[in-house]
Amino acid sequence: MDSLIYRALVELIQGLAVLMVIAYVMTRIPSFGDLLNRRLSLTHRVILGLVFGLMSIFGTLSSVDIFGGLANFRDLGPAIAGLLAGPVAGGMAGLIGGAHRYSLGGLTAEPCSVATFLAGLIGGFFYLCKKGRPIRIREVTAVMAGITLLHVLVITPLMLGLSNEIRQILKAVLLPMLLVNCAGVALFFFILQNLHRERLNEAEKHRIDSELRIAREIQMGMLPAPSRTGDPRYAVHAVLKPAKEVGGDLYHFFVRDENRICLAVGDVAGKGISASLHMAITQKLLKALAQSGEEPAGLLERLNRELCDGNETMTFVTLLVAFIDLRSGEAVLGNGGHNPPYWIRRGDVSRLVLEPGLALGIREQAVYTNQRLCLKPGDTLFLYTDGVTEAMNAHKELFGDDRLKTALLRVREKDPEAICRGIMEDLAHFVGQSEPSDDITMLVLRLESKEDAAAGAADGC
Amino acid sequence: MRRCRFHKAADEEPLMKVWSKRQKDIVILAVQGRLDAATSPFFEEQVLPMIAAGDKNFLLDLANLDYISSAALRRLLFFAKQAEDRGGRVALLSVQSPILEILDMAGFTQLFAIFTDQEEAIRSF
Repeated sequence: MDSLIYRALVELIQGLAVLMVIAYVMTRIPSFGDLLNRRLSLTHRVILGLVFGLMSIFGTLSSVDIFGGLANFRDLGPAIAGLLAGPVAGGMAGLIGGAHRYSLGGLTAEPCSVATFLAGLIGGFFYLCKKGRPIRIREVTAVMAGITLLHVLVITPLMLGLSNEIRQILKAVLLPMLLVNCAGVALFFFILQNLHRERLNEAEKHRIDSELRIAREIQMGMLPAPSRTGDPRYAVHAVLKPAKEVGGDLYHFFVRDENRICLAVGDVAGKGISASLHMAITQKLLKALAQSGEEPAGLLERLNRELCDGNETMTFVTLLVAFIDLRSGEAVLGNGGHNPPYWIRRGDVSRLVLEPGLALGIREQAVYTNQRLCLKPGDTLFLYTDGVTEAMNAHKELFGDDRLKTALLRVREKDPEAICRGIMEDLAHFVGQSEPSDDITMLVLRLESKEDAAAGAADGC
Repeated sequence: MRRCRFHKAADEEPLMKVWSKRQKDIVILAVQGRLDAATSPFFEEQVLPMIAAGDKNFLLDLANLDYISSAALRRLLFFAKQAEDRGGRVALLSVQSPILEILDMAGFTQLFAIFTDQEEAIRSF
């Protein structure tokens, strides 16, 4: 007999698969949100009543015979409809399932159909009692257990007149029914709540994504155009690629007057949203202060004082500023703790040796020095952030200065845009499938050689 | 001697470890591995409570530090500032050349006293 009960249980649980499909489909329909927020229209309640009424009929039809007693989960549909959508849906499902059971006739036709109807009403009563508080799986399972026991109580008067043998049969039917009903309700609400939570998470993720996209557009909008054309004496090109949606790298390029231009590249410590806020502040301050005409060291000192103000988190910025006089080719550089740029001259690539200077935002009294360099026509300056040299591959190796130098040697004859493209390709090849570890920025300037330039270009300083 | 490990995954080598010991009123912290955006919050979790508990002089032994990122430098600065606000300071010991290069580039060598000899470092406090 035990093995028979076990087999009956397995068969009944197989029948539950249909219920799980219903649960899944329900979470995929648009008004599903209303379902868990108890904002269902009457039409929806009626539809739910119908669906779970059919579920109840299915429960009757997939009954499993245990010595003539029929174990089934007919009560499950109406109970769920009630728990989910109130007494209207529950009662309706119960009525459908009950009527179908009654039409089949038999000894327990009347009490069984009444019990099914009651199952829907009890579920609905629980729904009303909850008054919108979140449904707990433990509670609905307990309610279902109560409904199943009630079902047994309803048919008990009939059992009194029966032989001992039939009583034994009914007892044998009870256990599988109790287990299947409770498991059914628990699983149904478990699936429902899980999928609902997943959907909320998705919606939240989508919302954050779209906000980050906007932040990214704002951030990119703060940067000057990546390329500058129109002056035959020089060419300039920039690339900025944040590791995440937004980042802490920045660059600036502007024409001070007809003969002088300014370049800057900076990197806020860290990455992501916090870095991007500091990037925005730095970029705006730099833009405003750079117009004053002060030389790089003075510019860095003023910028540093502004950035130190209220910087409790010690978020610092490394910044390299270069002013270039297009007539003489003289470059004046100021360095606030940034990677020194590379200098390309006639096929030679070398890293400039600059006094480091303290990164900005740390110490108000920090001082900076102007460092001079003489550029000739055809010379190229390669400014970058450490996202280039610290790009990491799957073996946790860094791209490093040696590889950067090799890459620069390969593209040394090219124009700024092609140099940026070439280095980006080398980086992509090196990093492979690894996640980008930091923001990557490059700013490349080339003074055109005399043959290329229509107007008189730099002729020594 | 207290010891902490921070694992990325169960089967991986810990990315960073911190050992702490005391000599007089100086806390010596030996940091091993990588200090980056992922591991430096753990470093902070370990050291900020020490400051809150009254410690203010720290000697960071970086002999086995392989890498430090800018995000970690920020936390290091924050840590040093907290110590300085309480009248103490943070000094560095046995900084290896790759790390020294990074510190030097950002100008941080002017912020921290750097020592190669532990006894000398202790005496400096």
